[in-house]
Amino acid sequence: MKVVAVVEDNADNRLLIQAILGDSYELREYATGHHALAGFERSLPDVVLLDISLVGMDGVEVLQRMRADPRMAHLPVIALTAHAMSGDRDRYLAAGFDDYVAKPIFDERVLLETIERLLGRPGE
Amino acid sequence: MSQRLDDSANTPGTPAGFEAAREAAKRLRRFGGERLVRDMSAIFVEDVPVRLAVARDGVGSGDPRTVEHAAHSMKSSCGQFGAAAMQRLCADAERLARQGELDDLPPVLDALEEEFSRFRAWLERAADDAPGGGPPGP
Repeated sequence: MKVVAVVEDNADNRLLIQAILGDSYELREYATGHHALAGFERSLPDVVLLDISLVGMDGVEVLQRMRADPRMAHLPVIALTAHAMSGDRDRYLAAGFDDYVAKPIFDERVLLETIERLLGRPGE
Repeated sequence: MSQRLDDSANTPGTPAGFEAAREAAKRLRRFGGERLVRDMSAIFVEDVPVRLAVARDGVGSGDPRTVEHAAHSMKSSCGQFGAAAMQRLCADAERLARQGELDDLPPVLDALEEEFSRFRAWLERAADDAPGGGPPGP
């Protein structure tokens, strides 16, 4: 089973993602960017769902640290954000995220299809 | 006859204005059944007062980033629950904090706390009427 890391500081959002993805993927949950990076050093997931607005180290900084580390630079990372403003998608893709899913999650297919698309893409 | 979150507004005495919350409850139930609704409600009811307190502390200590983050987190949860009035107030608080206008925040946080009380009462009443019963909180 493919492993999805969920980096999200809202417990209710983690629970929701677990309900949507739990039957299809092995989930590893992290409430902070520091914990996520430490976890990735021990074991790499196949894809990362990364909240933008984390306490302390925010999602963009977590991504920058991942991209700077050869062991995890290649991991597909999906930005999760409740900002939901016009132009967000382009902004996050320009920042180095592989894709973007807005919160609240109204349609589980958007999240599932985004993950499947990234896991199915040819390796680099 | 047992009631569920998404039809409790038809119960006499249930506050109006929770249409988005009823839709959200349907959506959450589709994702994870009644248990997900109950578990997420329990977290929501527990977390909002904590985040409100963090926001108030941030106002008191002149720390707009803390207020902004607390408001943003609450906004995210409110959006998932369809707590539309709370979500708007959280967005207002987030914007004011981002602009550094801390003096304008206390009335917004007061309104948010008041709206939370209304929403929590609705959630708890609906959960009491849901199949399997029991309040959402511990």
